[in-house]
Amino acid sequence: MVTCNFAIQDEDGNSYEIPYYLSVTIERSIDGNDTTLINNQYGVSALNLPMSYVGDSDTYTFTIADDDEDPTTTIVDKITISKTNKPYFEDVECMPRYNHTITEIEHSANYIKDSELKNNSVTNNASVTNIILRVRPTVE
Amino acid sequence: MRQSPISYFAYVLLLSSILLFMPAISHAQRKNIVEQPKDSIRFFQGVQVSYDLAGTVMRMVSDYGQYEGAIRFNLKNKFFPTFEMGYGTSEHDTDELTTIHTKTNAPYFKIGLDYNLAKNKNDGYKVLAGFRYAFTKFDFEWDANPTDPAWGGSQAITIKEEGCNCHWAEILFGVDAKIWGPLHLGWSVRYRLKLSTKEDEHGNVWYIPGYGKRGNTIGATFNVGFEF
Repeated sequence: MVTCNFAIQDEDGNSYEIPYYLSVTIERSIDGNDTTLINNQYGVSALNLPMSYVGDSDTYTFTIADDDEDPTTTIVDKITISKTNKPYFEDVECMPRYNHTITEIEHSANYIKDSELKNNSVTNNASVTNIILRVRPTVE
Repeated sequence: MRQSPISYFAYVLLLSSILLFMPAISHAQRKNIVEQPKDSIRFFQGVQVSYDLAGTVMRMVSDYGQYEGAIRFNLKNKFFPTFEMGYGTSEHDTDELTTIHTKTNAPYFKIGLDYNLAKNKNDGYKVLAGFRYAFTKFDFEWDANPTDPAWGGSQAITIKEEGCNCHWAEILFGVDAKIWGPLHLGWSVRYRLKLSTKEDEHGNVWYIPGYGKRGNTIGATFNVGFEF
C-alpha cells in the first residue's frame, strides 16, 4: 500500500526532530478499534503513514508526550486528509494498490502550528514529501 | 656451336608473341566451353500459408498465448513479403494471495519482409532475416478484492480499460525448410521493440496480444506451412 509522506519542520521552516515521544493512531473503519501506526518514537523528523484504500478522508491522531513511560504532559492533535482514490494494477503477482490525490488538509493546532500541501499525488514513491507539518518548539 | 644474334632475336620475338596472345587464346576456349544461359528464375515463385504452433502450445501450458497464421509470397526465392494475423488471448485466474484476476483478448496484425540469406537461393532450405511492423487494439480487464491492511475492510475492484493499443516493430532471424512436397517447417526468433502504446490509466497492461507479456522483448515461432 502507498503512504502519505510527512516532513516535520520548526516554525522557521527548517527540518526539525520532535524532541518528544510521538505516537500516531488511526481508527479502523471495519470495527472502530484503534490501530497504532507509530508508538512512542523519539526524535521524529519524517513520517510515512498509510492511507485507506477507499475512504474519502483519513484522520490521524498525533499524541505527543514528554515521557514514554510516565508522561507529565501530553498533547493531542488530529489531522484529517481528504482525498480521491484510484486503484492501480502493478502485476498479477503483486497486490493491487491505490493511488490518491489529496484535496484538503484539516488539523487541530495544539502542537502543530500549520501545514503545507507540497505534493498532492500520493503514490508508491516514498521519496516524495506530500505534507509539511510545522510544529511549536515546546509542548508547554 | 654458338647461336647467331638473328636466331636469338627471332626466338625471343616468337616467345613474346606467344605470351602476349595466350590469354586471348585461352579466353576464347573458355568462352566456348563454359558459356552459361541467362538466369530464367520467375519473379513470382509461389505463396506459402503457415500456422505458428508455438503460440498455441504456449496458450495450452500458460496463462497467455496466441493463434497466428501467415501468408508469405516468394519473389525470386530472395524476397518474401509477409502478412501475419493472429488472436492473442490471456486470462490469469484469481490469485489466492493477490486476489487479482485479469483478462485480455484481441486480434493483432503484422506486415513485413524477409530476405533469404542462403548462398543458393533456389535451395529448399532458406535462411531468413526480416522485419515486421505490428499493431493491436485491445481492452484490458482486471478485478480484485484486496483487504486494507491498516484501515480494515475490503472493496471489490472491477476495471475494464477500453481502447488500449500498441504499435511495435520486430527484427527476426529464422529458417524455412521444405520437408516433402508442399510441406514446409520453419522457426524464427524475434526481437520486439515498442513504438508507441496507449495503456491503462489504472496501471500497466500485463499482456499485449501478439507482443506478449509486458517486459518480454524476445519471442519465437515454430511454423508449419504449405507452399503453392
